[in-house]
Amino acid sequence: MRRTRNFPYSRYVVAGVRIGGSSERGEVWCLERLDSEYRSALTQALSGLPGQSTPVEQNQTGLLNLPSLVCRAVGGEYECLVTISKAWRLLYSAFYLLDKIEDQELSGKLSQYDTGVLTNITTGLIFQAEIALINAVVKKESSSERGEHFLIAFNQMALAVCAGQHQDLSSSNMTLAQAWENAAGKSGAFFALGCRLGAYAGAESSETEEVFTTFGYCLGLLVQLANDVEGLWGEYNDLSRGKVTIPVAYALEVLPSLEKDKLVRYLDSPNTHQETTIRQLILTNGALVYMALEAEKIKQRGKKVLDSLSLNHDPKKQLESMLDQTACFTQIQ
Amino acid sequence: MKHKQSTNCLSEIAYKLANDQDIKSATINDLTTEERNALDVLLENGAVETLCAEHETSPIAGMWWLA
Repeated sequence: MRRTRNFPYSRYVVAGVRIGGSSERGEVWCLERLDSEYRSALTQALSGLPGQSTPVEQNQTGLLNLPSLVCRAVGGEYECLVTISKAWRLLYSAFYLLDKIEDQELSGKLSQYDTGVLTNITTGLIFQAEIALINAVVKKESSSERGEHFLIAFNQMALAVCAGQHQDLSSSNMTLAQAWENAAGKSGAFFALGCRLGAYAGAESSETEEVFTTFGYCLGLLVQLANDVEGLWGEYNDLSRGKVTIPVAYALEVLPSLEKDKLVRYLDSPNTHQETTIRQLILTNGALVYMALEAEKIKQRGKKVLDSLSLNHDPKKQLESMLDQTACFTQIQ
Repeated sequence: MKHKQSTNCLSEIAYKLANDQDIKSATINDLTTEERNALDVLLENGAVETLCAEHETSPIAGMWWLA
């Protein structure tokens, strides 16, 4: 049992379970009391997800490595970064899988799974992430207060993501304001969490954590905007399922009554026959203009937040580039 | 057809830009600095017409958010 500097969560840390410790850098799982068959199932599910083939230590870009990028930007200590990064990857994978299950979008390797089995696997991923975080905090912390605050904030933000997803799944008639609340909960809180993890690993102040939480929130909103834009097209798109995303909520808000009624009727009973017409109704009335305006606004806010801190040049540029790329649909000429 | 009054300036502006309608100066004045800058960027790069065009496929290439 490792007990560190009176940190209250140290009682949960059992010898040999630390992820990313010097003797087991490549080990993803907390092995203590982990059933081998369940471990194999977790490993197999994880291997089928995009971006998981590159070890945490090697991949320096992309949203899967957000904590690492933020940590390098603030330029602080790196002792617990590998563990933090693994926790983020596990959590990212868990929420990715949950989203696929809840939206009934299991395809490729994931289609072989029973949804009950996969739900249980995602639960395991979340608890593995939690253990990794506790270990990271124990490894880093000299102040139990900050570590405790960080872990509580982590769980609160994860719950905000769940609440956003719940609202998304259970609401059929959403206003534009509610659609934004969903985006803030689902993606804003999630990427805020990823950035907060990196700031925690690299910075000594809670203020830096707060700033990067805001940056991550902006990045997450941009991710959701782009996701919603992309969801207007494709074989199993949001529109074909009658899902009210931000561009659809925009159209419901601005369209004159006759056209709005047409859209409402379609959303109540979506069909392939009308899908193209409805898509054009949404597009020609400025849905993408609206999304681009909002994206540009959020992007500026994110860059302003970065400018408020003294950051290392290269990782800061990469974070700015992440904002630019995520809001890329504003660059259409 | 009368455009429904929006509580969100940007949604009202987007709709009017898409439908080639005049935007009241009062609406512009209600924008925050970030919103005004965003509008300037969009108008400067001439994106409005393209963004309102009929698209057969998504303007976003690939699922970048898992890159």
